[in-house]
Amino acid sequence: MTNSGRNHHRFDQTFLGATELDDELIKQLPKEVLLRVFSYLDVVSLCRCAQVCKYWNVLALDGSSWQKINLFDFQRDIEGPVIENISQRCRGFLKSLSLRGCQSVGDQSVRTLANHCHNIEHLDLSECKKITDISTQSISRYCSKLTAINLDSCSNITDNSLKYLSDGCPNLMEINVSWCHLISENGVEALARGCVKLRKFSSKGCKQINDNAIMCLAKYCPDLMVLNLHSCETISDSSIRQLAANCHKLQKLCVSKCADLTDLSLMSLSQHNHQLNTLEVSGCRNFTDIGFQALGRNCKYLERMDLEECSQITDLTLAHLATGCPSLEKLTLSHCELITDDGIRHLTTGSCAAEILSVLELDNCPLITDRTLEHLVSCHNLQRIELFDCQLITRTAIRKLKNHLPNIKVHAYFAPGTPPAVTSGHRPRYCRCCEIL
Amino acid sequence: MSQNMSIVRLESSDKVLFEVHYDVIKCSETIRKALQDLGDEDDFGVLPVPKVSSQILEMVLNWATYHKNDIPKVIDEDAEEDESMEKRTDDICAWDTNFLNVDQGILYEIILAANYLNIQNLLHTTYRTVANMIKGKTTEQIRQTFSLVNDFTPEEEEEMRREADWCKWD
Repeated sequence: MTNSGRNHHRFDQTFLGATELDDELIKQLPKEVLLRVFSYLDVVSLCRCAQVCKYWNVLALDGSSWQKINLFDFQRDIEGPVIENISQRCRGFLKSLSLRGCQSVGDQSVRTLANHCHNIEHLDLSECKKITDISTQSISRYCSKLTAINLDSCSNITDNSLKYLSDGCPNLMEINVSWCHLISENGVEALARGCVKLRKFSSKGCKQINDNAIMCLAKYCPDLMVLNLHSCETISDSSIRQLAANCHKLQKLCVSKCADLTDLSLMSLSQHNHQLNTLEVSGCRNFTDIGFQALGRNCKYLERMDLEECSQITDLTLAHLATGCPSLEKLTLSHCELITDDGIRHLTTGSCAAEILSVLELDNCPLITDRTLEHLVSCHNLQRIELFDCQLITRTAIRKLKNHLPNIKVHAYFAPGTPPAVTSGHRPRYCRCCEIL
Repeated sequence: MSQNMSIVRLESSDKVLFEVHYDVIKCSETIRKALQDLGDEDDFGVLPVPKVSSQILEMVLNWATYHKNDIPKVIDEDAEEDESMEKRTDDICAWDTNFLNVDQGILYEIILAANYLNIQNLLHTTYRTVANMIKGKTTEQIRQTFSLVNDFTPEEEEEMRREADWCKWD
């Protein structure tokens, strides 16, 4: 079975004049095999295959090759007829479609899609800004298997959409209505009542989402695992406490810019949500060491914490996290102006420090000095540290840190003494010294 | 499993006899099922593999020998859940790449054999190999690669080009 043997075999065929055996060899593969090959192709390759010949056209446009389609790369070119063609090709095969950013997509296209593709499970319509409640109405009517929908920045969407989804999509587990500013408690209540399997809910920047809305989610959706309430400014401790008490599976919570929350929220999270691994509380200025002491005591799986502008916290918070959170991987302390070298020392002697901690953001912590960088030498896994506007940090200390941790990215900025020789028109985002080092 | 079962005898379409260790050929669902059906008999005789020539069977057995210690692919359903994995075609190991660096005719015969013998891992590798022969090529280059003849009328071609303008085909 050597190479020459094989070639010889093929030569014979040619000499016998049987060239057609050589041509279109691939046609000996059965249809099912070619379909499996096509299932490994991206959208562009499939479209090119469809143009090769009539037989390939039928196979390449077969719905089974189009189960998962992401048209994000083509967003500017996607218009109604394309969606309609795809819908008709894929029919019941289509399970996952991303039209993210396809801004010319409107209700008519979504209606055609819903009408043809009843089995769709994942639908991403984020930034399809033209769509309205008419789209969700068709989805509700035809797509009962829907488990995830992304309506991020579809700003025409109102509470009616959530009511439709509640009626027609009882299997919904993930929904994103961030920046849909018309959404209010009424829509969320309907959604929560109808979609009790909900696991992920995101409503960033929805100013009308209030305590009542969160209480409905807490009451009807006990499986909630991920909740993003960034900038839902009016929510208070009462709804977070109910959420904590009812949704024990909660793993990720963002309440950044919910500035009315107090330590009471942190305390009930620590009491009930021991699985919490991500907590973003940027701009929650009422939080103090007491709240984080409670978290440190009970939430030992915390991996990522954003405490930017929790301006009351002191080194004590870091001491509690260092003892209680051995999995801490990313910690943001920007604008926590009371943090000192001593707090960082606590952190670096904690259980997460040596092997786990990989990102530490300390920009605008005015009290930290070169001592902080000396403490961090023991954090072998540190990949990135932010030091913008830490006025007491010197270049020499950064250089020393980089000697110990050669792979670390240090982001800092030192105003140059003289104007830089080469002006590319942009102020460097990261410190020049670090690039030189 | 009795001692005799450790050696399996296969006969190719051109009546060439192969003796192969059970551990090597157990990757073939077809053979495994056949052996199960034969049950605990001491002598299975010879299992005919009528759809595979000796040349191809020898290659497939070489592949199976090299991969006999591979961890069997877990359930396909699970793999497809993982979106990033689904369409990857750049993770074919060097040995397989070299093994499948053959004339198209041979490659397709290997695919047909893997299909008949139902060897999932070999099938996946060959599918990805053919997919790689398509990826990144223009329509005309694909035709050349597979010696396929354009049987569209100019009108049909124009129609298709208009229809799929969004994905910038050539």
